[in-house]
Formats: sequence, C-alpha cells, structure tokens
Amino acid sequence: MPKPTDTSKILKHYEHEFQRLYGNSNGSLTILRRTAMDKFLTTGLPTPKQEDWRSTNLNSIMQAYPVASPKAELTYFDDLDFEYISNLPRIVFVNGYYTAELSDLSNLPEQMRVNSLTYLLKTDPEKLTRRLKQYPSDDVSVFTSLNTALFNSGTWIEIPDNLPESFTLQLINITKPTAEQQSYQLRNFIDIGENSQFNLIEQNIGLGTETYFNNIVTDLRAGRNATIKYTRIQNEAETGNHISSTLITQAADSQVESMVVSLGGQLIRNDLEFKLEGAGATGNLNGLYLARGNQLIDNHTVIDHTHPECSSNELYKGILDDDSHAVFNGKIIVQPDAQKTDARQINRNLLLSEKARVNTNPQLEIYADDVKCAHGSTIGQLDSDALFYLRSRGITARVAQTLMIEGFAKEVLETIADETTRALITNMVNDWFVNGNNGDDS
Amino acid sequence: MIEIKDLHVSVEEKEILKGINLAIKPGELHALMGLNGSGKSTLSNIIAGRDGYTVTKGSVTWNGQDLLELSPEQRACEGIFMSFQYPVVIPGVNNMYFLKAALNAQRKYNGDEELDAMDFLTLIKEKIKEVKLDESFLHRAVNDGFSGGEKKRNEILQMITLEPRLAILDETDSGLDIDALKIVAEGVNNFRNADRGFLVITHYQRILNYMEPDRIHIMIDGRIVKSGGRNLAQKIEEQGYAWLEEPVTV
Ligand SMILES: Nc1ncnc2c1ncn2[C@@H]1O[C@H](COP(=O)(O)OP(=O)(O)OP(=O)(O)O)[C@@H](O)[C@H]1O
Ligand SMILES: [Mg+2]
Repeated sequence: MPKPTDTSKILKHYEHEFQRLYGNSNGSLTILRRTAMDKFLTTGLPTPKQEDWRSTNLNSIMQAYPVASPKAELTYFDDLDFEYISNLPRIVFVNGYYTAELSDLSNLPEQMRVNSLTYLLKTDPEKLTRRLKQYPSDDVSVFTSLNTALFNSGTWIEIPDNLPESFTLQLINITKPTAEQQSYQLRNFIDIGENSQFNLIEQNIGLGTETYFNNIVTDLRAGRNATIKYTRIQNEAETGNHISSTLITQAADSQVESMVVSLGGQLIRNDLEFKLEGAGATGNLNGLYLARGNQLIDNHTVIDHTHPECSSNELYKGILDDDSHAVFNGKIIVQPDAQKTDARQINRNLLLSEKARVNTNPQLEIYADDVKCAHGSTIGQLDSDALFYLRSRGITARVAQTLMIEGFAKEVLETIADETTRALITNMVNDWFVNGNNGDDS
Repeated sequence: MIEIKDLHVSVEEKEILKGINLAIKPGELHALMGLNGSGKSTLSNIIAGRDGYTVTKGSVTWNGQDLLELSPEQRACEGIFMSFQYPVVIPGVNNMYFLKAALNAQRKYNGDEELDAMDFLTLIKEKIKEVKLDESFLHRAVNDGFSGGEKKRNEILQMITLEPRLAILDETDSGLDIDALKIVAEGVNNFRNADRGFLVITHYQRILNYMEPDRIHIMIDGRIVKSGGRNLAQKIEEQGYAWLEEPVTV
C-alpha cells in the first residue's frame, strides 16, 4: 500500500491538473467546474474524524493521481478479457475512451440517446452545463466535487417517455492503465422518461497490474411511473481503487431497483443515495460484496423519503475472507411529509476468517409518525452444525463450505429478476469462490 | 459390522458416556432407549463423527478398521448414516442439489460412476414417493421451513437415497403423527435387508411395534444398563425406568 502523503500536496496536485486541463478555457462549463474545484479545495479530502469516513482507510488513494485523458490507447486486439451478454446492446469504454469496435448500439429504440461525454464535451458542452445547473448534486460527496471539476469521460443516456417495451443496455467501463497511477474521472447522466422501463447493467472491470483510481459519479433520474433496474458490477483489478457516488432521484410512482455487486479492487467505496421525491415511489436497494486479501469494500447508502406512501426495501449481504474489511452504513431518512412510509433494511455479513472484520451501522432519522420502519444487521460465521450435517452425508468439508457460502449469497442473487443478468453475476460470483478455494482440504 | 468397546466420552471434562459396549451385525436392528440426557445422541454423534467430544477410553471399529480415525464424510462414504434428532436448516442450499452432491460424493469415493442430472432426477422422484413428500420439497432449501414431521421424512429420504450399510435413527419417530410414523416405519422396513444394520433410538414402544427389533438396550447415565428382547420395550412403556436406576452391570 502506498504511504500516506500530506493531503495539501494532493489538493495542490488536483488544482494543478485542473489548470492543465481547463486552465485555458472560459466557457460556462469551466466556470461551473471552477466552483466545484474550489469546493473540493475548501472541503478537503475526507479524514477519519468525519462520521462518514470513520471506518474507511483511504490511504491507497491519498496520492497524486494524474487524470487520464480519454484516447485510443487500447483496442479489441489488446486481449481485453471481460464477460458480457452478447445479444444485448452495449456501450464499451476502455480507459474512458468510447470504443466502437467493442460496442454494439445498433438496436437502440428511436429517440433514445446514448452518447459518450467526451463527444458531448466537444460538441455540446452547454447541454452538460444546463444539466449540471438544473440538478446540482454536489452534496453527495467531496469526490463528486472533484469529479465535477475534472470529469472528461462517461455516458449520457436519455430514454424518452412512454417507451413501448422494456429496454436493456450494458454500460461497460474497462480500466487497463497504460501508465502508472492514473485516475479516471467518469460521469454518467441517465434520464428516464415517464412510464418507460429501462434496465441498465453497468460493469466496471479492471485489468492489468497498474495502480489506478476510478472516481465515478452517476446521476440517474427516474420519471413519473418509470420502472428501472440498475445492476452494477464492480470487478476492479487487485490494484484498482474505485470511488463511486450515485444519486438516484425518483418521481411519483416510479420504481427503481439497484443491485450493486462488488468483488474486486483494493478499495471500493460506494455512496448510493435514493431520493424518493414523489408519492408512491418505490426504491429497492440490493447489494452483494465479496472481499478477501486486504480489500476494503465500503457501502454507504442513504434513502431519503420526502413524500408520502413511498416504500424502500434494502438487502445487502457480504462475505469476507482473509484480512478483508467491509463497511455498511445504511441511513434511512423519513421527512415530516413522508407519512405512510414503509422502509426496510437488512444487512448480513458472513466472516470466513478470524481476521476479517465488518462495521455495520444502520442510521434511522424519522421525522414523521405514521411510518413502518424495520432494520436488522448480523455478523456471523459458517454454522458448524450445518457444516457437519452436509459432511455427514459424504460431502467434503471444502465443498460443504462452498455450498453454504453460495447459499448465503443466493438470497441477494435471487432478487435479480432477469435470468440472463442473474446468470452473468452468478458466474462471476462462482469464479470468485473458485479463485479463493486454493486452500487445503481440511 | 460395528463394534463399540468400553467407550468413554467426555465433553469439556464432563464424562457423558461411561463405558459403552455394543455390537451390531449385518441384518440386525437394535433399539436404544433411555432417559433424556442419558447419552443416546452423544453415542450417535460419536459414530457419525461430530467434533467437540473427547474419547478418553475404548474403541469403535467398523468392519475391522478404527472408525474414530475417519472424517465425517469418509464415514458417510463408508456407509454410515445418521438421521438427526434435530435436522439442520441450510439456508440457500437446494435440497435436490444437496442430495445429488451427497450421492455423487459417495459414489465417487466408492469408485462408482456419478449420476448425471437426468438419472438423478428419475431416481429421486421414485424415492420421494416412498416417504410421501411432495416433489416441491426437492426445490426448497434443505429443511428450510419444513415442519418437524417433514424434516424427519426428509431424513428418511436421504437414507433410502444414500443406501447406507448402518443407519442410526435418532428419535426419527419423535413428533410424528400416526400416518407419518407409519411412513417412516415402512421406509425403514422396506429398506431392511441381510446386509444392513440399524440403531433405532426412541422413547416409544410404538415405533418398535412396526419394526421388530432384534435387541433392545436401555441407557442410563452414559451406560447401557440392560439389554434384552422386545418385551423390554413393553416393560419400559408400562413401568418406566425407575426399576433400572441402579446400574446392574458395567
Ligand atoms: N456439546 C455439549 N456440551 C455440553 N454438554 C453436552 C454436550 N453434548 C451433550 N451434552 C450433555 O450430555 C448429556 C447427554 O446428552 P445426549 O444429547 O446424548 O442425551 P440423549 O440421551 O440423546 O437425550 P434425549 O433423549 O433428550 O435426546 C446431556 O446432559 C447433555 O447436556
Ligand atoms: Mg438425543
């Protein structure tokens, strides 16, 4: 792990990067970026004294990471090994660069727009300025400010109202740095129109052995009565750091279900906030995190109920081996007007080694009186009675353990309604189990 | 087939089995009765290989080899099966998948060809009829949400699928209604043959009426204090254990 540096040097570094990239421009977007940069500089990098960062060791990103500019460094013949669903449209980025050879956008519904931000930054920066001004989301995290100041890549997705049938898109971000210690500042804007159904499967895949830092901000807005499934797979390289800040804003009667699967990377920190901003909205948050070695996977979720008769249902499960560390922080806010809220939250953790640890912390802030709110969290080990039961039928200890661990994960995997998506993720999870099963047969 | 000699077992310094002698030959069905806490389940667990116990003295031999040396899975593959007094729930593990994994693990160990999914399905559909469980139980997680009686029938399903040479039934009759009791007893009776041995642990004479045991043993405080024929169960049913409280033999 890199040695921690004086944070003022890091702030200076990013200011320097800002000057390098945007110092000579003065468009309205640059003005907006400048404001975000100033906010980043005054707020500073998180410290363990801040409640939301208390248990999160950020050493591996406390370094001066140069910001990579999207360019054609690698193409399909560079042995980019990744899985995807072959018969579904996909937009593929390699190191932030939209790679047409790997993408397939031939069957998009009419009026649906999918653009790379690099393209929009060149052709229509005003559009981005308008969007950023209309929905400022800088309160999510200081890394959002950094991202607003520096983002140079990402995706713009616009789904029209009343799409006649559900549509699925794969968004694949591959990181395979061609230089040491690169940072990638990606931004995604996703707007889904009224009454439309949309499935997004996002994969963040890290390859290679260089250290890198992905700072990804996603702003998703669900129109009235829209139905959205947002699956996110984080399979970063062992040397990868991944900070994501995601804001999901829901209009009335919309239904959004997120599924965040984290199984790679040195450091993963996900800030995921759901804002239920119209009556009758439903937000479901599911997550599965698998960590080993000295990985840190940190999920901070916030569900903000602002309107009446909304419901949220959250299920996060984690499996931790070796020296790994997980953090789950689940905040549920029920604002005074959000009567008849139904909010549920469960976090379960399975520790496979003595040294693995987890901090789980539910936070309820309830300001309305007519609400149903339930939460629970557990940290446990494999049940020795169950292990003996399986072994007493002839199944070896190792296979029995694998069966039980898979059984533990299954509850979350079963929340994925779409079979193809579930199969894709189940495969990755099984690979994770197999890779870790090099130990002895005891 | 199995021979237990002067077996002493402790848990955390406390002696629970205090010199057990018991031998079961192929084809025999032995019943084991006795007060709560006398050590019946401990004896089954020792045979099945559960850890947490210390054998301080004595031996258990299985067809001439030292059984206590083997892992639980090896014992299962060697043909030992225990129906649990309290079958364990295994969340998220599909019952059919579990049964197939178990059967194939045993077949592999014994050098037999593993069954593919189709063949296994055919087999298990036959077997589950015998215990009169609905096929839907195959698709649920192991014992998850099963009623007490359903769990016991699931144990019997495992027994007749895995075809052990020695089956230990630890209170498989407890908590069963009269129909379920008949199903379990029939399951066992159909399964009896000249090569198989049984150790049936029970508190009730009722199940023994269906099973015709060769021998009945009474355990009190870690010892088998009396062994005899079928009428012993009858006497226990009528008079309880008080007349046996004084250990007569060691
Ligand atoms: N792991 C353990 N730790 C402590 N005590 C134990 C343990 N296992 C068994 N014992 C004790 O050993 C004694 C025998 O228990 P066992 O379960 O073998 O009895 P049993 O004859 O099967 O009783 P029952 O008829 O109630 O099933 C009991 O007093 C029990 O509390
Ligand atoms: Mg018992």
